[in-house]
Amino acid sequence: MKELRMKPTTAAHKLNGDITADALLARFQDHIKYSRGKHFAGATDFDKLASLSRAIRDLAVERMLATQQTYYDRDAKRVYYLSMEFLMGRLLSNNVISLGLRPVVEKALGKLGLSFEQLCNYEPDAGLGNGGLGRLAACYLDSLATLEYPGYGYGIRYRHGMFRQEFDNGWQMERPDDWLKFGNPWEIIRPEDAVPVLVYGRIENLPAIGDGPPRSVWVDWQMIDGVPYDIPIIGCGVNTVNILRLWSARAAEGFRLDVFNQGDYVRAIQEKNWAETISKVLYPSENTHAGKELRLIQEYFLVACSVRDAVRRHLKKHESLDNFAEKNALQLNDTHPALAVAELMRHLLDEQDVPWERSWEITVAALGYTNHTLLPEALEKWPVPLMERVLPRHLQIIYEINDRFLDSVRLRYPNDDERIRRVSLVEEGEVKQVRMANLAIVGSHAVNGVAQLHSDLLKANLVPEFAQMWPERFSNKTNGITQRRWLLACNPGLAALITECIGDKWVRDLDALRKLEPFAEKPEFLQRFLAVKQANKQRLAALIGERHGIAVDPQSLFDVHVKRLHEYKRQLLNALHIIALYHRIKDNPAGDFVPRTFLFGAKAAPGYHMAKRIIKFVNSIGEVLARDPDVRGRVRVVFLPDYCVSLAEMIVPAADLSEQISTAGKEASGTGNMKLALNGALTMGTWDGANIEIAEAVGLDNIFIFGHRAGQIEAMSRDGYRPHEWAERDAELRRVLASIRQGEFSPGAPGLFDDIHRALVEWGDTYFHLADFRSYADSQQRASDLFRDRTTWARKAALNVARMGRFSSDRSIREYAREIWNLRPVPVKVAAAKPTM
Amino acid sequence: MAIQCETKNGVGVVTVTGALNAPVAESFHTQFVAWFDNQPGLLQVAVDLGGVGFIDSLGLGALISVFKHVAERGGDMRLVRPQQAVKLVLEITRTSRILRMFGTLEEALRDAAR
Repeated sequence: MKELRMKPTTAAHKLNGDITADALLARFQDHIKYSRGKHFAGATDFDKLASLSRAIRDLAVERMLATQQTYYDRDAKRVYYLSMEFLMGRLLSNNVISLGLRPVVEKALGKLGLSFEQLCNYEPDAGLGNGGLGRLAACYLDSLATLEYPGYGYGIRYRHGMFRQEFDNGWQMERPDDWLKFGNPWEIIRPEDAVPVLVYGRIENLPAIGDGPPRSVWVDWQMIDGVPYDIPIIGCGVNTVNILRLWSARAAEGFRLDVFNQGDYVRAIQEKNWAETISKVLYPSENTHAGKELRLIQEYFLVACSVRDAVRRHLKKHESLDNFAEKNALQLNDTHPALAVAELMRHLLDEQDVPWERSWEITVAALGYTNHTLLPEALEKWPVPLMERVLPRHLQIIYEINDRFLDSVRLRYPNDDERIRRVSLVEEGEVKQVRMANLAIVGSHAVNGVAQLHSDLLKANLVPEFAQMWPERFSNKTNGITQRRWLLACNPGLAALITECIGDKWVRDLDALRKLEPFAEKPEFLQRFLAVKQANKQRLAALIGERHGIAVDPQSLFDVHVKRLHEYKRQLLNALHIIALYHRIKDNPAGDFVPRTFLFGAKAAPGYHMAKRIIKFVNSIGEVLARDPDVRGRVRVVFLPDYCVSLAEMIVPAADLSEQISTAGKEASGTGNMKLALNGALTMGTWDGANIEIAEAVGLDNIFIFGHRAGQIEAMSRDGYRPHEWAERDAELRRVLASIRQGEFSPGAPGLFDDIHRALVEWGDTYFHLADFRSYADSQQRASDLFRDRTTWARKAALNVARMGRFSSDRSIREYAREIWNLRPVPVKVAAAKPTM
Repeated sequence: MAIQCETKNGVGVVTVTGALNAPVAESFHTQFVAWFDNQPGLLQVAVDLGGVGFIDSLGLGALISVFKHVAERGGDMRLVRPQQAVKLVLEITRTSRILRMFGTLEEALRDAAR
């Protein structure tokens, strides 16, 4: 089967000329010598990776400069995507594909006996995110550039990204992720654009002069510098190269030489260390209490740097901020950057002297807010005393916004104190708290959820008063994924097969996959489709064998459950089903069972004890099953450590079955569900998040949908959910629960999983595992039965692929651009250049 | 940090060079107050910050403190030619709304003479 060769557009090649393999090779060798300071013979793998990345970056930088100049010249409206997380993963392979240079690169490296794929594998993941929210941000950057929208990402250049996960006796251990250990060849540091950020202090009132009003200044603050690092975001098949600007914190004044000279070396670098701490570590969970103050400072750091940068860019072309909202849109990826409301107001009021009313108009018109969760515990609130200490001026502004907002609510809904209590930006209580979601909603002209169900629940349950007041502000923007990474790059076999059948239009227009539908009726196509899947499974099996010494059977059904570990995502429900299956095998050792490999990948927040116990539980089940001769060759449970983007790129193309089994009404959207379906896995899913829209798109015949719907879950919660009653009605479930209580999966450590048993039976089963168990187990049986007929399975999987067009992040970004940002594409034209060499 | 104080056309002109930060804030305050207290009747002061590349919160605190000292006498203080980094800090802290900034010493002197 021929490898897909992306045909670059003519325009895309004008700038650099049709770079030849020899020219690229020369650049590569130059970087080995001049950037790494080595002869080729002495170059390490990383030297080679860095040099190739630099050679590719050189090509991107030319387009990046042209892109920025075009935006400036055309006074284009820009969108800034503010996100505390950008889960970028590896960049080399995608950048090479976007530039249409894969064949050239392979040829060039081939001349030196180097493998492109192997070099790509040396690249560390830029794991600057926890999960879906961060990966969504990365997909959106790809789509913005490919669709030629003037878009910028703003984030934090964490020195240590998401922790590296290892297992010790089945328990998760967290190790620091040192992704910058050898440097990052893609980034360009811009110290000249460093910006000051002030935190802490107090507002001091000064006496009025003459008849003037009393005035106040912000004093006793501490200053940090935000230093930008730019990463080019290369549009696929176009000239556009946008920028992801990541901010790194450093002490504004280096270190205290006067103190150092007095011999107090520790104190001399104290401030420097404190400042650098701000961009040191990505918080693994927004729910953690530890380091709350640092997290608040991180969020403000991102916002302060980004708003100042956007304002600076605007003022290069315009004399004032009066038209700021006409020329700039700032999108808040969840509430983490919600302080942008107060920060932009502060800019306008304090630095630009714009009156309050006009400042507010500009702020609301410029900002948009994307909500990502309905879980009450994940809705950010900051204690007022903390905010007063860290951001005294911003708290003043928030209070003022709240006063004015509540006045308007009182006017519209007189004598409705309960409403006032619910919509206030400040939650009353023993310790007052600032509600960041309320701040983001009040301060934005557009609020969106990320799947239809989520958007509906957001309006109906989470913030109904706001939806009632401002129905026009609320909309849905279902998440999407970039097919450039999640099919073209990660699944070259399937990409090539699709292109062979329907051409490569799908790379920039995923709806074109529809043309694949008739092929799903052709046995020859289905055989090739299955062969691609099989090759991907063998590739993953080889990786598992190589890295972990575990043999998995590529002929077995690969049942994949990869995502953050959270109780609502119900990895535990999957585990309960595995136990049930185990019991069935034990009861009938000679039975005919469809062999399955259960693959898990998930990190638990370090402070989330139940999540970590569930990881241990799954690992323990895996061990027990692996030791049992009755099970051998039938069921294998593998929890792959350190789930990350690059590992996902290996797992996703190899999956047969995609576990998307969250409690209905809890998952905002999910994007793993989209990636897996796009790569020909069938979904085992609940009526939750984007699963519902995937079911609509692929058809109920081509998906396994089970379990209670969100309304039913809500009704059970309201009317009293009694999990033990579900267990009493189901003998198989009773046995599963009994085996946990009896320590079947914790030999030698009785009681190890008592908390899991109690959570399910005694503590109310918050996430309705028991209520959905039967429906889930029956669906799993249907999946096993179907898997026996590979051709029928392949037909359904191929139809999934063909019908996933609407889940491209290109569609999402077009909707944001049209309905929230009022943004138009700005194609970048470049002068024809002479071919290099 | 170095501080030079003089009087031009009835306006006190204080030229500061170097960083206005923690190690020197107290010295700046002391020198300024000592000079100002020896200028009876002086009401208008212009502080030339053109040579100041960095200011921290103690430096700003000293600046505000000397302003309050001038204001206690019924006088006023202006800031002249702050570099971009210093200007930003003055704007963020709203100091620029109290101590007006001028691009040149001449402009500040003209304003003081009104």
